[in-house]
Amino acid sequence: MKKLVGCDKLLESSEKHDIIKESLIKIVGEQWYSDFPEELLIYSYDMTENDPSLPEFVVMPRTSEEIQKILKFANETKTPVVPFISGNNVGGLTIPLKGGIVVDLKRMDSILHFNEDDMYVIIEPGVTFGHLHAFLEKTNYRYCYPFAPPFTSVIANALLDGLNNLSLRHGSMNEWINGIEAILPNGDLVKIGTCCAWGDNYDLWWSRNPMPDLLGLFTSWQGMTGIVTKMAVQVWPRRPIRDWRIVLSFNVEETYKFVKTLTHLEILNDILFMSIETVKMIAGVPYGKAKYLEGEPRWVCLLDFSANTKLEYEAKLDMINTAFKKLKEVDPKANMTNLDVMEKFYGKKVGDIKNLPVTIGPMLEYGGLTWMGTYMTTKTEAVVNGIKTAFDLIDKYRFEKCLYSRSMKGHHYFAFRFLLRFSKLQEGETERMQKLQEELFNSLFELGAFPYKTPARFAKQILKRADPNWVNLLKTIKSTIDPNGIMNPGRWGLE
Amino acid sequence: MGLRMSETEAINKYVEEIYCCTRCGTCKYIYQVYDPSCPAGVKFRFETFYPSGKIHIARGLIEGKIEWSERIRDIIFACPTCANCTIQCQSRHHAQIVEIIEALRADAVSKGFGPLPNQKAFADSVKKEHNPYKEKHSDRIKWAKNLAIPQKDKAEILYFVGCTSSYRQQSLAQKTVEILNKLGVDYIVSSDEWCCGSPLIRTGQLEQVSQLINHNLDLIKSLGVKTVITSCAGCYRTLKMDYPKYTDKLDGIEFLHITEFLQQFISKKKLKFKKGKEFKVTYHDPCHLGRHSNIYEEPRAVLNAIPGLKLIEMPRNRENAWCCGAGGGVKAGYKEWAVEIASDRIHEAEQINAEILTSACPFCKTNLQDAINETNSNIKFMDIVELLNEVII
Ligand SMILES: Cc1cc2nc3c(=O)[nH]c(=O)nc-3n(C[C@H](O)[C@H](O)[C@H](O)COP(=O)(O)OP(=O)(O)OC[C@H]3O[C@@H](n4cnc5c(N)ncnc54)[C@H](O)[C@@H]3O)c2cc1C
Ligand code: SF4
Ligand code: SF4
Repeated sequence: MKKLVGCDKLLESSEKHDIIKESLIKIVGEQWYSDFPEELLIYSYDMTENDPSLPEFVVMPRTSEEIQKILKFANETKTPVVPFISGNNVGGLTIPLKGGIVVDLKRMDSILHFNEDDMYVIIEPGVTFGHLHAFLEKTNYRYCYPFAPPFTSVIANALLDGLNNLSLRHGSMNEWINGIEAILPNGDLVKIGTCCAWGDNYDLWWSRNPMPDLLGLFTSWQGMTGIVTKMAVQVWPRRPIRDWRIVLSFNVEETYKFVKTLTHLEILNDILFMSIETVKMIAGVPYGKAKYLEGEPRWVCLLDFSANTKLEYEAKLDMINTAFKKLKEVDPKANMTNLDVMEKFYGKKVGDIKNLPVTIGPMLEYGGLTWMGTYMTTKTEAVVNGIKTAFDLIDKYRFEKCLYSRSMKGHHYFAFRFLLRFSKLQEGETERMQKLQEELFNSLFELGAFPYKTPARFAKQILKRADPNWVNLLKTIKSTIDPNGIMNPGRWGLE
Repeated sequence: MGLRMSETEAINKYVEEIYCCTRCGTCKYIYQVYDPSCPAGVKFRFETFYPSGKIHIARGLIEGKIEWSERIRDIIFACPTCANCTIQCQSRHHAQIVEIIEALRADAVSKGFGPLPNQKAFADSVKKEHNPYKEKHSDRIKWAKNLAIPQKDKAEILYFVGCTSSYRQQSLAQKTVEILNKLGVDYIVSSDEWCCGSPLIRTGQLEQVSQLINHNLDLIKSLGVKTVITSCAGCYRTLKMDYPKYTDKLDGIEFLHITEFLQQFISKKKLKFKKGKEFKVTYHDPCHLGRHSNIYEEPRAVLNAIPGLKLIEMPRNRENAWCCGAGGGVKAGYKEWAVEIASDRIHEAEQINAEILTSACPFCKTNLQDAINETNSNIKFMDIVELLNEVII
């Protein structure tokens, strides 16, 4: 392999390109390398309003060893590297802001081990929610699923602090990672969690404590500190009885208090708090037409609960009924029903919510989808104000007011999110969406909402407002692990 | 945004649909089953080879971000147009995905980037001999030499044989007429049938298509035909689904696949079967008959009517069936890969312990048989007409 250390200035760019190409082909083989413009184009944008930027190379490695070689080489040549699996992160996070090599990890798609006693599965990055679901269906265990298309990566979402239908019980997805294998920018392979002691024994990846928890070096770093090649994720016993209730209501404050009451009872798997527009969108109402109509319920809560016995089920239902009665005292027109009734009224698609992971077609079919996705305080005033502020702004920019929020980890914090469809075909809509997002970010941040899967342009603004010591620590960690700044450069506002 | 849209480009008709795709990836696997669905993606793995990749290539061309190239040609022709993506995609453009791919192919041809060399030979041969196989037009019904075909000028039913059964899989043509004879059907076969146009339409070579259609329609009308039956899934798809896009002169003509035609006899209990011992058969849905034309149950009804036949299903069946790999010009353009795709299917049939693999298309027969030979499989392939003819009196 030819050396290129620090030679960027000496070599003509085409010469450098050829050397990088030759080296990458040596590592992954010709079949798994591409620098064809049409392939590069595909990796240069995603469904969001974030500006596109082209990579220069794409490789599809199959093993940790290949990734070690790729990163070692990229580090020596100071070539940017962007880990990629399906690019569905809704934050522009795989757009190669500084060009370089996209490392597409789809071929690393094995479920390596299932430890039933300690209840975890070890997977590779290309394993999707769909495949994990299919695997676990043959067992008595379950994982958790986001509202995302089934063929998005479990590892990527766990690393991104994703949220899903067990987040009320367990918090964001990083919390149920037992351990990882990762490749650092210098090519070193590290193991984090109990696997640091017994890495070769897949039966001993059972926890990440008691030891200094180094997982934080990788979670929510958006691929800026290395490439995770294996992960042990916790799974849970599937309960035989599962059911859903839908609450349709009118008063925002009272509905939110109802959510809080239910979370404190600790009986639900998940609770979603949505606007009627979100339900209409899921039901298939075309883009631009998902609107609230005077007189109809304004808010929709989805309650997901399960039980081991009929007695437990009935006790839970009884508690839900009691909480609902209280809501009705203050929001008299509120109504509680089940998903079957909703399906009859709004169409079959609404029932998809209980079959996660699913693809919600109507959410995705206009070329553009983005969100203002945040984690925020659970304070009633902040949430109610946040909804009002966001709705006013969304109205101002003429988009749809699709609130999709959920309580996290027993209501210790709140996932506060607005799903925003837009058309990439309509002249000017992408720019209009960028402006809306800018205003949403500014207003909601002031109310205590912190964007997750943070797009680079918001991250930059956060750094300006955050405690300088935190920012310094962040920079120190990054420059220690990745002194040449090769990993997904430009993310988190760090160059 | 400034789209580069010239009216002459076929993909421009699909701009709305092209912009529907967010690259969610749902088309890559069978929805909520999670088995692979797209042969092109499974083989080449790069995003561009998946349905969404081809759609985004179309978008890149429309936006002027990429230029036509040989690589684009290779990508868009590396697709058996199996239409599995049209089933798995949950977005509103799903039904048009193959149309978008075919429009890209038409544009590739008009820009001089396509088709692949072996596919080009189809068009040259069709121009000269009205079939893509470089065979003499005058030999078109040579397969019928020792068979009693009704010799008449007019009939209400035409058996449209198709080029593959006329020149390559002649047993399908022979067994079909034997069945029709046994059933006492009043039908006709024409020595002046031309290629239906399928190999040209599927590979974007549209120049001669109208001429072929006009010829075949004139022929059908001159013979006084009301019903056209065919034992070829490719011809059936073309006659039934493509012809209406080119002409409005089809009224009064019904197109039936042989399995649809036979099902009518089965429901009226008009087929007489020999006594048979038990045997296990699995049915491969040809893409052109199944996903393209929505015919799933008729072939199964025919098979289920056969005494002793135990129909067992492969895990991927009906609209989720794995393609045989021969369609869309892949058999000509990517010979070895076509057999690789078929080998997966053979493996699937072996795993359920089927003794006979059957289908309803001469093209599927060619490729699945090639895969059986290549993999030294013990499974036996018989087309549905070959199977049926053996068991009816
Ligand atoms: C319609 C829709 C709804 C969604 N709903 C939800 C939801 O309800 N909850 C939720 O949490 N998410 C949701 N998502 C987001 C999405 O599902 C996740 O972010 C996704 O799972 C990430 O997987 P990916 O394959 O798209 O990763 P990518 O987008 O390819 O990668 C994401 C990030 O991780 C980095 N990365 C990828 N692999 C590695 C690795 N091996 N090591 C280090 N870094 C890596 C990348 O560089 C990038 O920064 C939704 C998405 C869509 C499109
Ligand atoms: S074609 Fe359909 S399923 Fe495939 S990526 Fe596009 S929208 Fe998703
Ligand atoms: S037609 Fe078949 S091979 Fe072609 S893109 Fe669609 S699923 Fe893939």
